[in-house]
Amino acid sequence: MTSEPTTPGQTTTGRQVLVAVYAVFAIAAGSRSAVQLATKGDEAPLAYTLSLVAALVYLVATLALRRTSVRAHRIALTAVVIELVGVLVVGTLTVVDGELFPDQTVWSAYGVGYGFVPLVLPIAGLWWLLRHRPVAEDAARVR
Amino acid sequence: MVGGNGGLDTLAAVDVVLWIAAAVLAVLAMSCGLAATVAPGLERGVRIGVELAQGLMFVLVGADLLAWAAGGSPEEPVVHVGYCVAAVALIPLVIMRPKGEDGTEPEPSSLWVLVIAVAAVAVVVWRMAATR
Repeated sequence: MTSEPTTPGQTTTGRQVLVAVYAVFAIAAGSRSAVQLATKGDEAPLAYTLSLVAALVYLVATLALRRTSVRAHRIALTAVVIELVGVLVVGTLTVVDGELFPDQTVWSAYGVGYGFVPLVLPIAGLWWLLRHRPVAEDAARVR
Repeated sequence: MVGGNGGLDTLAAVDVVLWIAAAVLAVLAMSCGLAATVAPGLERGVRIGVELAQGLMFVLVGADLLAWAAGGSPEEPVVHVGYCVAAVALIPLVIMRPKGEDGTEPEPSSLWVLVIAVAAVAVVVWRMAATR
């Protein structure tokens, strides 16, 4: 895979788009899970907590992707991998056993409730992050 | 719409306005996409359109709250309030960009970011209408 290195401070359209989508999902998943936990948290606490976890992962990815340092790149990569594992594990569990969670989570059935964007997003994020590794590692460390 | 009942008339009118606004926002999102791809000449117009849309959101949410006060609350008030907050906050949150490390003003957001922001708000306004 060829990699297109980025220098600190460089914000490409791809980065902006990823940040925008992650921000929308952080807001959507976070507000939905917060309302669910506040109004009917005892009905499906695990499902709503999982959605809250997903929202936190989206938030971390949003904040890390906004920055161009090596450290931010690593944090974003970690968040995106956690997100991918989450959507694959929870998605598979909910497909295998539909009764596992009393209510939907963001990652249920691979994010079907959100048009499968929760499945596509970490793959796109991972692909983009691996293609745009920061090159000025030493310079960033000094900074 | 129920004749002779001002509260319900107001509610129905706000419903219609919300559906129209959602459609207009969807068209604006598509226009942003066109400006980003085949019609770069539209850029200035769609950027102004997004600013107007942001103003429209405050007007819409204000009208929605007035309609709420005039007659009956939504089926799920907490959820509806969440959509109202998202309607006014989403565009600024998504298109806001940090200043450069040396304090320079950031460049305007990519047109693709505007597509995402406006499309997301269109969905929020549609949900506002659906949860009325």
